Amino acid sequence: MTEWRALGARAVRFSRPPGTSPRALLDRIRTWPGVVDVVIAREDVAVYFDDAPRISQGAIDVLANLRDDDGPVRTVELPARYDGPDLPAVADAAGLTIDEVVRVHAAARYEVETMGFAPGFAYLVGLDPRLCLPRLSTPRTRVPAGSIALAGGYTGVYPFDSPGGWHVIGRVEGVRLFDEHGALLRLGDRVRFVRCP
Amino acid sequence: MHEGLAPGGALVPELLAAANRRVQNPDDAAAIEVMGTVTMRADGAMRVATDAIEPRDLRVGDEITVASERHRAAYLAVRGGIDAPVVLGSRSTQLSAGIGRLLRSGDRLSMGEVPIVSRPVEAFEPVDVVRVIPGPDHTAFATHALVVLTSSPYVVLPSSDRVGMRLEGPALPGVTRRDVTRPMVCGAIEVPPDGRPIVLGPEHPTTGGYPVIAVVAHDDRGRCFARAPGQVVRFACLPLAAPVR
Repeated sequence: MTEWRALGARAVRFSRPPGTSPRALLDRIRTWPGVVDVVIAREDVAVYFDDAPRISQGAIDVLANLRDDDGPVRTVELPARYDGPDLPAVADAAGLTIDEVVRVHAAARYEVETMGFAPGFAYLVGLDPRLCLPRLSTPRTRVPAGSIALAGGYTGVYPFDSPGGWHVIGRVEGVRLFDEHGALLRLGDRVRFVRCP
Repeated sequence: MHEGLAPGGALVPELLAAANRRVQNPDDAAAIEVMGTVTMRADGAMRVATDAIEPRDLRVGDEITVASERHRAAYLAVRGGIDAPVVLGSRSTQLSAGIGRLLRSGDRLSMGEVPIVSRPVEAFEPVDVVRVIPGPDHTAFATHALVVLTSSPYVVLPSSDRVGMRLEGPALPGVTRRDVTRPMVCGAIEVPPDGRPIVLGPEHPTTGGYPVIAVVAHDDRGRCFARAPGQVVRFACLPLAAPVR
């Protein structure tokens, strides 16, 4: 049985069922009565209601047995220029050359596991284990929008200028991660970084 | 919020509604949230009001000055609403998402055409005590942390904004550092390792890495955020209901 906790009077938080795709979770939970929004984080799901939550323990438990939808999976290609200020330090820490870091990062296929931190910010999983580094000991006060960064086993792209504690290895070109239509990347999307010529 | 975008909206919805009701707008019509002082000049005939100023008919060239003196924010409403574009279902500015921006000297705004609604203006006083519900992580703190939170006065710090209201007061004991990022909610009281609580506002990050000791009751959020820097807030604990049956 999945343990749930109240997140205020109009939301609940419970453990993310392992092995279920975030897309399938989101689609199912949105069918619950009174649901206005859902946030799926690495370990938890939060469901927000228009009033006091009206769900049963059974509805939460059944999420663990959801079959993945067979719908097509979207792949988004992000044009990448690898010229970030932390490339040398990342190469040092990983025991690779700068060129190897770039090749390893651009060769991997990523998946959006979580959205959060900032509008349009996608936590991407699938990073080569050699690039799994801790966060910077001193976060930067400003990381430019479009920066490609990695930390804690994730990689991602900053949608806006913001403070940040990840290692910046490059930037995307010609795409905006969040605009008036919402987020470019969505839960469950596959993502590739394509090196700019 | 599933795309990382917080709900946004007015910091103090009750004051927004008061300003709107004075000009027969629906409660949630777009208006101007003022933190500080602003002077607006009419370039046509219009009826305006604020949460504190009775309706006033302006003619071309007339000015009205609005200041957030009584509360953290004041609201200037114009009959018909402000004709701001609807982005992702809302007309509200959200700086963290690059939607809209702060007004600058010389900006011109257009009036909208929201329907006429007549409802009485309700009195608004920030109550002495803000009610909270124990948060999902309250067990991550020392057992008396909730008692500390609900028995001590906290002072609103000047660094507070629409993202979060930062409080100065007794540190909440027994916070364990945590790197897992979890879903958040407006009104969540997040506690960083220094033990100083932050009440998340309408532009909060949708996920956060600090434990949530309590969540401000939905109906008390506006009354909490209405406090200006330097003012005191006290919390009282509501019993934890059982939302899941």
